[in-house]
Amino acid sequence: MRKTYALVQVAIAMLDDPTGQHWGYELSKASGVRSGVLYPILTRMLNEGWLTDGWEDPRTITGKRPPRRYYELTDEGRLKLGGLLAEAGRDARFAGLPGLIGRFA
Amino acid sequence: MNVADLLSSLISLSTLLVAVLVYGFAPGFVLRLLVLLYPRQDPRRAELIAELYEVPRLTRPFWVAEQIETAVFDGLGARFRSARQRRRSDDVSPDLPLDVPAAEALGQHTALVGVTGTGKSTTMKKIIDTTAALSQLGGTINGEPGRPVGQIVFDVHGEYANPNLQDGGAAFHTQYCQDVARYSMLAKPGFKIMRLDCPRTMAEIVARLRAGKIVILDLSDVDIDIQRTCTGHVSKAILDDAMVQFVQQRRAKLIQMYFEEAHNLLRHEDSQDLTEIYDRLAGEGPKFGIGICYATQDVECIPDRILQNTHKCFTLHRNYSS
Repeated sequence: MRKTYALVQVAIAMLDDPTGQHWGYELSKASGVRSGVLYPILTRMLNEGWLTDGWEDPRTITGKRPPRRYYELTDEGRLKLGGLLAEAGRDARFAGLPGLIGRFA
Repeated sequence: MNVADLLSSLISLSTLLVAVLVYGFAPGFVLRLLVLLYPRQDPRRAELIAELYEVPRLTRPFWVAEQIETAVFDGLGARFRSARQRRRSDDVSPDLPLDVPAAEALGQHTALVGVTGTGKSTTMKKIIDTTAALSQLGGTINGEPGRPVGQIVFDVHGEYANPNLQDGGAAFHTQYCQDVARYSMLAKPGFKIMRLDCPRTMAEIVARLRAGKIVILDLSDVDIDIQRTCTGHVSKAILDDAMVQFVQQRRAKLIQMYFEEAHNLLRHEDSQDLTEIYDRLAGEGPKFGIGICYATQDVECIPDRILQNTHKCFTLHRNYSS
């Protein structure tokens, strides 16, 4: 996948909790990437096998709302995104990106 | 209540209605319209609607407005890809006619390759049926008068010789071709006994083929070694007879031989004699008017000589429609 500013932002947000479940709206807020850009990135990551997805168990939902779709990083995804952030840390284009500062310093 | 109060209350009411519309009803309604840009089965349709419930009510109109971009770029893109896939799928419709010139099908070798369930046996039955019709019709092939075509099926699963569910409970000889002689290694009603040590049986089979008849050899009751031995001996008898006809300068009879599970049947690592028969059939068969049609799911196990001399190969696959 092409290393874009938005992808690096999404990678930072996901690697903050590399084994957890991620939700579209929360990921958008955490990464600062608007959903029009975020969802195509998630689709590509799913196609690459970096992510798996699933749906909330309806029995665990409180209140009247439909189950949400979540995303989890695969082992390959963690490796790829880790590598991507390592490269981004050395790339001047991404200098000053908040999540990167300190991560690879 | 004076007019100013009335106007003021009306404005308040309309403001309230607008607020309800913008923050209550409209976001969900507009979002449900937007997600229709995604293909019908796309999980993002349900995903975006579920996400709306996580967005604070005051920011919902703005979040939904943001989804216009999502739906246009992500949704329309997915819909375009889905339509393109469907068009490709339609291009290989099962109704697509396939014409094979008779002159290129008879006395030559054909492979039917595909995994289980892709229609190898059905295709083979159609080929046998069409060839039988061609054999009865006569006519001309490549400017020469048509000749009777003898056909022999080495039926390892018994699906040609016996009624089977694949053909709706009917037997091949009742559904497709009537003029069929069935042979079996075991005594069964309606079957002639196949004895490898009986020259008369071999001669009878060969004579039927030369007369343009169909022979089905039911090998489903015996183990693989006997299947191989039987197939090899019958093939040798057919080839030997064709060579005699050729040497005596008689016009070659057309004979088509059909092998199911060819990766098992045509392999004879432990018998050089039997291996040679198939090598000869592959190389010299067409010269004597003999063509073989074999079905397999494992091309790598087919002897090289047969592969090298295969004129046509049909690759069958299942056409999934989404």
